[in-house]
Amino acid sequence: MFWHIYKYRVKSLLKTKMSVFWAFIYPILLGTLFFVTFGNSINKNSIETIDVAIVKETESEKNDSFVEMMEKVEFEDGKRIFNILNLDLKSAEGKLEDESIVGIVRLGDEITLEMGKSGLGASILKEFADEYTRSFELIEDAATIDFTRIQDVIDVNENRKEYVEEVSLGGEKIDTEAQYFYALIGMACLFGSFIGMVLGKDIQAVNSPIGARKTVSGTKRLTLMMGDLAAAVSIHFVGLLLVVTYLKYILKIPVFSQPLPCIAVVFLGCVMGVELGQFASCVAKGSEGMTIAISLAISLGSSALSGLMSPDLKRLMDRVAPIVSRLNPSSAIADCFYSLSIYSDYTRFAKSLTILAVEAVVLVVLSFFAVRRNKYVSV
Amino acid sequence: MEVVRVDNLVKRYKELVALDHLSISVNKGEVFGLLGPNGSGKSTLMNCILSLLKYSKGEIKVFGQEMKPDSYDLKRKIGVVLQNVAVFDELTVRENIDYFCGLYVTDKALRKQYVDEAIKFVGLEDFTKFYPKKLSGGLLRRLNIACGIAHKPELIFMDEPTVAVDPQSRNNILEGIKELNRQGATIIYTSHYMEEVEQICTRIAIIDKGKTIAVGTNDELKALTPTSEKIRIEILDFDESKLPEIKELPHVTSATYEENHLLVSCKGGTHNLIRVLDYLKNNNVNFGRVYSELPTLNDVFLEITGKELRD
Repeated sequence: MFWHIYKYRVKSLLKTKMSVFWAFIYPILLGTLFFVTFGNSINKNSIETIDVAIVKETESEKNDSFVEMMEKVEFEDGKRIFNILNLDLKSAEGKLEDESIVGIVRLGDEITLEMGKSGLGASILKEFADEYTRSFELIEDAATIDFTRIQDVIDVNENRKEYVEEVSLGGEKIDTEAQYFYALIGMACLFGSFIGMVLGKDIQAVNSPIGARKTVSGTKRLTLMMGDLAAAVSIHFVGLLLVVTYLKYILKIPVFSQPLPCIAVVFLGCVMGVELGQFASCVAKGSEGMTIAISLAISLGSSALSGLMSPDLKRLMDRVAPIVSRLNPSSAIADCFYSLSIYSDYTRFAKSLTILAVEAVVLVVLSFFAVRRNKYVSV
Repeated sequence: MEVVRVDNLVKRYKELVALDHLSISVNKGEVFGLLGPNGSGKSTLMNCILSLLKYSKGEIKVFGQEMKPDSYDLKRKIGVVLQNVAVFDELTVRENIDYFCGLYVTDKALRKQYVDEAIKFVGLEDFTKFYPKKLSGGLLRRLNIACGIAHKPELIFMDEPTVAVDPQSRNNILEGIKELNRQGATIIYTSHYMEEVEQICTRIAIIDKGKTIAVGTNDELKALTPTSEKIRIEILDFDESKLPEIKELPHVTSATYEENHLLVSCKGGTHNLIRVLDYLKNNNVNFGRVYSELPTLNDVFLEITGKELRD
């Protein structure tokens, strides 16, 4: 029964202009548009040197060593990571405010950072400062415990430092513009809601004659829903894989460097998108306008709040409503890709992927309960 | 054997009472007609029986069991032909029938046989690869029927299946319904076309304002009218002083003269027409065309409600 429903739903969706447009054509159009917009800066595979202000408040060996280290570190292509500006606090704050520097490093008894906008540069600076502080404290602790073993600790730490530098920062070819394409893929995933709306319309008697006919049939609601959902997700998923292939091999945009985790994200994104539409349709009960409004509001709103249109909005959400920001499906998708690009371990990636998976499952369950054993006031 | 039983059903849409303590009983093998004007509650009743609609009060049993949204065993015995065409525009005629049949029949070989039979039954053999948008209104209705009955249900609900259908397709559909009944299906048929209901239904419930106002066979319902025969005779210059004499004829209940026509209503008796014509001939009254009409369900409806069925 499931495969019967699946087969015919695939057939019907492939012949539905709206689903073909949203699944295949729209992301390719948008991808091409993005490519044209960022055409000059794509494929550099490197990021710019980060401008940082140093404000020395206390002279110390630790602080001198920190500055020395900042001057030395380089990207793989030999370009320096940090461009250091020695300034007083007031001038540094002025520059931070007008965004001509990424952050201020205040070298007092402790090393403290003042960051401007969040972003890749800010992340690198913070990671670097944290790493330095951790290493310094480790050596300090070792010296307190057993002075004779301090060289061993330095050796171990130097090896670790090498590891951190090569894998975390240099291991991935970071392309800031690629982040836009990840956000685009996220949005394309959520636009699967337009396909989901078709499913929602066809599962409820109140929404369409087909819904009525299916409702009075001898097939369980769950089977009907899951067959339709699987078909829609399959189509949307294949559509997005084609889009990714187009981005990667035709437009030469460096996305999907880790194919398997990326495919997992896209798959869950597709489930999320399709289910969003189905859920909206189940909740709106009969009102097509309301269904479209809910789907559009969530998918577009989610994309906007995840920073696709303005990174400021994402930062504002992170600050004002961090939980909403964390639960935002579009943010979760973009964050998965971002984590794969930046971090060497999969902790953050796994966290975002889990959020996405849980949200998708919750929507499936809610949609099912919205239509299960339903009787209507009118049809 | 009782296939459907509805007792004391009440359905309200806010202030409006759509079904008002309505009760019906449908027996196995019947073509049971639900006849009533638009908005009388026919479709609402059908949707309540199918467990699509909530209702305020009453009891509905199908095959002796309470009908619930998850009564899948019961639903597998039921076929539904909805008033609105319910097919996928993106699937061909055969694919549509196969899809809906597949929601009931899992065995592929059996399903193929059923689909072939359904296509033949509705006469769509030449259109199996057509998409619904390429079909005429009549063919589309036939497809709609095929999708509802392909799985060979024991009980079939048909909600105005001939709306907006050409006469040829209508006859084809009505003959098909009689054939389904001959094959053993019990059919509940709603319509506001009294001619259709008279033609195919073995028993009829007349519904108005959510109430069953009369139930019975065609003849039983017509027996409810005071008139069993209406005679209409074209006469150009009729002397109306003769009307009382005509009223005195056996079995005549009324006689009027309007717009060059003498109208005589009779109740019971035989040879009423001949008797009236003899009277006219004996009184040297020249007449033109002569019509003799038997009462219709509209007369029954008019008699009981005081208004025309198509008002």
